[in-house]
Amino acid sequence: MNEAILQMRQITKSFSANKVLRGIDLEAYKGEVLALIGANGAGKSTMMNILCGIYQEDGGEILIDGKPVKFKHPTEAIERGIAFVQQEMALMPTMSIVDNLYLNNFQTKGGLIDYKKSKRKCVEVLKKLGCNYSPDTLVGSLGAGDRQLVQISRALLSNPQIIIFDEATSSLTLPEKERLFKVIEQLRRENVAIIYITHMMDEIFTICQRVMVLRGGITAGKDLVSNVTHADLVQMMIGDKVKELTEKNSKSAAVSKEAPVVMKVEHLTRKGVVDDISFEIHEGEVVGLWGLMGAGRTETVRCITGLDPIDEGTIYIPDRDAQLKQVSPKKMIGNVAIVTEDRRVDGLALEMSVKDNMTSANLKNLTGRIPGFIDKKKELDVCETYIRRLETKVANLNQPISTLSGGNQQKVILGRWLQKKLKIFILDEPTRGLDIGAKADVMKVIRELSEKGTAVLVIMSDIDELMSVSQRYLVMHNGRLVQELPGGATQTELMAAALQ
Amino acid sequence: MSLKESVQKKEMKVDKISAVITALPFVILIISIIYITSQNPYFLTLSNISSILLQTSSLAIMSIGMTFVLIGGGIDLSIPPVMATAAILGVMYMGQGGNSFVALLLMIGIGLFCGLINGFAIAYLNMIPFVVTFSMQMMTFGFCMWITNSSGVTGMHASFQRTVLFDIGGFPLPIFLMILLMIIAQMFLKKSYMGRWLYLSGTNIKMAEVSGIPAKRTIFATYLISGTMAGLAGVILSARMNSASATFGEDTIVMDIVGAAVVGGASTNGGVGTAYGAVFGAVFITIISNFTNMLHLSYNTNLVIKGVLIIIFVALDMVKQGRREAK
Repeated sequence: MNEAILQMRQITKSFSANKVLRGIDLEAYKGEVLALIGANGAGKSTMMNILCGIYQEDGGEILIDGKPVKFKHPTEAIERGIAFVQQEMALMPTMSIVDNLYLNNFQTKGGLIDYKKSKRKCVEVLKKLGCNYSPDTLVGSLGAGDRQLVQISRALLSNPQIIIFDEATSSLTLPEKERLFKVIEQLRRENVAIIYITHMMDEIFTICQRVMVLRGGITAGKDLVSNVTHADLVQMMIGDKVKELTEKNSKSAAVSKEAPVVMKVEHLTRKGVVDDISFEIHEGEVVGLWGLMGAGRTETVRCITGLDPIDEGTIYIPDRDAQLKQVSPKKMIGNVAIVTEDRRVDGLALEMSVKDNMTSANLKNLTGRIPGFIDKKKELDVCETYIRRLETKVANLNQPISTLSGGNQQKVILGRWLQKKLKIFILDEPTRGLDIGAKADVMKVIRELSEKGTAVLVIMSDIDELMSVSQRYLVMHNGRLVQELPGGATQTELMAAALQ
Repeated sequence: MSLKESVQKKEMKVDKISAVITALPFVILIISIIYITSQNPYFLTLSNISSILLQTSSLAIMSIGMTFVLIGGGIDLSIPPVMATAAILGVMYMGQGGNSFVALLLMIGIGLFCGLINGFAIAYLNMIPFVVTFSMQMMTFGFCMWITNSSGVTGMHASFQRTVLFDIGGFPLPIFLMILLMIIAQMFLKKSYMGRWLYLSGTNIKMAEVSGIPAKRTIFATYLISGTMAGLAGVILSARMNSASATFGEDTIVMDIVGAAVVGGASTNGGVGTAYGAVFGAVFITIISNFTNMLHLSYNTNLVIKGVLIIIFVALDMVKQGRREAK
């Protein structure tokens, strides 16, 4: 039994009032791969960002080789031998491999880049990973797997003692994955300590020696991989859920399959993103689209609503005679309401007024006697109606929407669609970043919609919230729809389906 | 107080610095007018005002077009040489014995056509407005120089000129046209749903698309409008000059247009601007030009002063934007 090279003791971290880490102990050993798992928001990323000096811990201490360290900046963590292979492809596609490898710390000679030396080192590192590319190759011309290797090479440049992989396999093909595993195995044999964040259960049993489970900012369990089973890990991730039973009573019974279909999706495919998605939604039904981060939930609804292009697939909605008719995704907005994941990016015109944001999707219906011209009174009436209905705190309809709190902004977006009286609502993380009161209001809106016969397809990463409204679940994993579960499904079943 | 009443009181708190920035062009304008009048007592006579407004009209109409494009988040650098192309071809057509009315349609049509190309490339091919319209500027300016051999083109029909500059109570028709276009454009921008679509698309095009607004078509249309306005300005300017030449489309004129739009409150960041502002800005630029002419400054000094003014106004606009976001 060797010495722990890394010890993180009683780490705590809060973002404003939100306690993300509540005292976590983590140890990593030389020559071992530690799997770090947990549901969305369990605190894995925050933990690793602290280790890399991106965030600073509020409390607790970090020891490397038994000596306490405190990183104020990522470069300090790199100097102490910590390397982070990030999930996002943080590479410059228009630059060469060698440029990407060094980015901010080129080997220099007299103030100029010493390309000769840089390239020599680059080739050396690439070889080690079994990569025979010339250092001058443009990163943009490489596949996802090779880009990943470039990222790993970048991490290896500093001869790290500890390497963190965050969701490293999420965009890789099977052969690429196997090659990556070989690389990890090789690094392990070279006595590097590896922390491996993943959502894929099988990977844990393939390449990891230890496993640590986080849940809601606490340690849910840690053990040798050889001592645990798949089921044990799922149990640790969700914990003891007594709450489940009481929550479920408040939601209405499942909608019968006899209810008319209001949207039918067949073989929806966007290459490399979502694969062959087919499902139906019935009148008055709340369907929870569940899956872990990166499973392709947001991508699916963006494809359905024509916000992202698709390669294949058809969508049907009922026409006036209630017959299902094929409709192009480009025409879906207007037939469905869509609340997007990040309201600051594509949900709001931040510089414009509450009124302008409220009516943006309905302007054609607010015209008065002169065709094409907005009837001011009609517009203000609509704003007033929905602001009151949703109990939105607004002082003046002309105030910029950016001056409202997140919850009130979200209510304006909901009001934007409620006024159109549509039969389908698609909500992507409608409660994200809201306070408890606003969350409850959004949940209430979802229930009311369903009672009035509107179908709701909802994505929420918080499983408790999702379970409190969904009458049926569609579970996604790796861009595919892998399972359908009834409203009565337990958290264990949902988690197991998402983890596959 | 109901929310509806709250709308009546426009702004709850007016940001003082933003208010000063908005008032600044008015102050400069008034000071300039006072100074010019003190030097030249004839400045504020009716006939001189009429002549200044006539001078302003073509610039104002082009600024209205530019304002549409700016609200949509783009820029159209090709307006002046497109205007020159329209004027030259129209006058040449008349010189060949063509019909005056057809010449008028031809001029407007040429503007529309150039706008169509700009708009298509920008809205549907996702090309950068600066690159597209700058290329269009080079193309049309080169075309003008080439086809006119860099000299003036004559052949304007007297009837064309008489009709375009028709005098109503001491004021020629273009002044009324400018005012009419300003009112129509302002109504369209502020009261019609398509106008609202334009502001939303210019502020956040992704949000517009998620709201089901045909944002691409909206952006496309702004270039059609700026092109058409360029054609219309060509009609007025050629009638006023009784000829047409490539110098109509000199590259410095585009800065007068952008300057007028920005002084009038349009933002180069998109989502902001009014037609009233565009016309006010055009009056401002024209009077400042008159002012610097009176100081007997050279043409080149004039350019320096205008350039500095425009940069100052764009900078002030950024300050205003920053304050709005900070709120």
